[in-house]
Amino acid sequence: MENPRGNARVFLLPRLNDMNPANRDYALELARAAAGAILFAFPLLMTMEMWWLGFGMDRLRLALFVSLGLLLLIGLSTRVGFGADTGWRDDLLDAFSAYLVGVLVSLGLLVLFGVLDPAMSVGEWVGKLAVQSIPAGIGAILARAQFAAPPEEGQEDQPPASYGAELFVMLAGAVYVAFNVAPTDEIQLIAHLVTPWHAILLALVSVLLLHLLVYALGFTGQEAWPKDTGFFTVFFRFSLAGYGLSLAVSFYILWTFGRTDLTGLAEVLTMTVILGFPSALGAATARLIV
Amino acid sequence: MSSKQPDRNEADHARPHPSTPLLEWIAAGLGAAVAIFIVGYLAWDGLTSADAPADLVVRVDAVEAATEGFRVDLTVTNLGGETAAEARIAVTAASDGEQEAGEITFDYVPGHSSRRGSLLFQNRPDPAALAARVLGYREP
Repeated sequence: MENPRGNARVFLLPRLNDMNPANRDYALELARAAAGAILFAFPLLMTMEMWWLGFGMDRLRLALFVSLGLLLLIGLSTRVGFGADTGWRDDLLDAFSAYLVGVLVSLGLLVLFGVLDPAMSVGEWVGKLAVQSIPAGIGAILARAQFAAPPEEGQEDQPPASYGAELFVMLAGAVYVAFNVAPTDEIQLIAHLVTPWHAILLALVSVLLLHLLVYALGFTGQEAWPKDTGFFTVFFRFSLAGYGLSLAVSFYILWTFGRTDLTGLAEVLTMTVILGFPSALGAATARLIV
Repeated sequence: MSSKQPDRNEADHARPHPSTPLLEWIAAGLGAAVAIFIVGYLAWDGLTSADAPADLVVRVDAVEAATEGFRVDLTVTNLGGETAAEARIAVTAASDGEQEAGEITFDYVPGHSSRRGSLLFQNRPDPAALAARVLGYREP
């Protein structure tokens, strides 16, 4: 039967021609998701601290992290999802299939890199996959937002996001970007290099960047300035709230990775502010992407 | 032939595949199963054995002639749950009345896991007189 979306797919996947077209389209969606997961997750898959965290970090914190990460995937799929979503059932299906893609991509690449081998214990396999599966799953979902064909007519106009949804998108972006540097030793190292004044300045720079990236620099996807609202309202409601979320995300990730254990309050706060910088960038860019 | 199935959503969504494809159910089901396994395994591990202190044992696997000197192959196994970082192993060997000692560091030995390494000696060590012991390790 004729594929209405063009012949490229028929050419690329000839054996899928006999399938139900819905399944065939979905297989392509999964392949795109896998491509996205690879592109978004390979830096972390090639970061040795991530391998070490896979077996070194506290098991219960890792279990909590994966659980919260799944909630994040479900939330994200309500915003971007595979294809055009029609309800929470589809969002759930999307989130779990993205998670599957994330796990399989992590599994494949870690085996290819020799990070996982059969001599290792089950606990090590599960731990190394678990810590990678969430960022790879986020990549799988985000890829669809970026690579998917533009939505058909009438699907484009999403209702304006609620304030909660805006905050959630910033949270997801903060998690995703912060995660790319959080496992590295550099966060602790920078915390040792800076003075409290550096940290305060970095916090100010982070807030400023968060605000400018979203509202001022004219990137594609830039947020429209909400009608009838003054600078301070927008700044407090969005930019400062976004920075607060970024700091919370930083602290949570540091705690998850065990960086806050047996560590003094000043050191913990400094690390939180330092990781808050990439978190804030993530919060800002997520509002542009999603 | 047309495999487009009638669907209650078709009226409001002019989309090429109005119903949820079977493949989507399979992928999501597998994803949920994997998620439950990973979280369940980690939680079970965390609640039972994972915080048992690291407990390292060293085993000498083989003594073989290398191009230069003699190679002593070791396996260090962590019987505990916590990861041992920078585990240092010392091996002393006696051969022809001469004492020789070597030391090796393993960056990480995860709980319930093993790591292998080798030490080189000038003289052929007497397997009966080889002694390996763990000097220490730290938390990761």
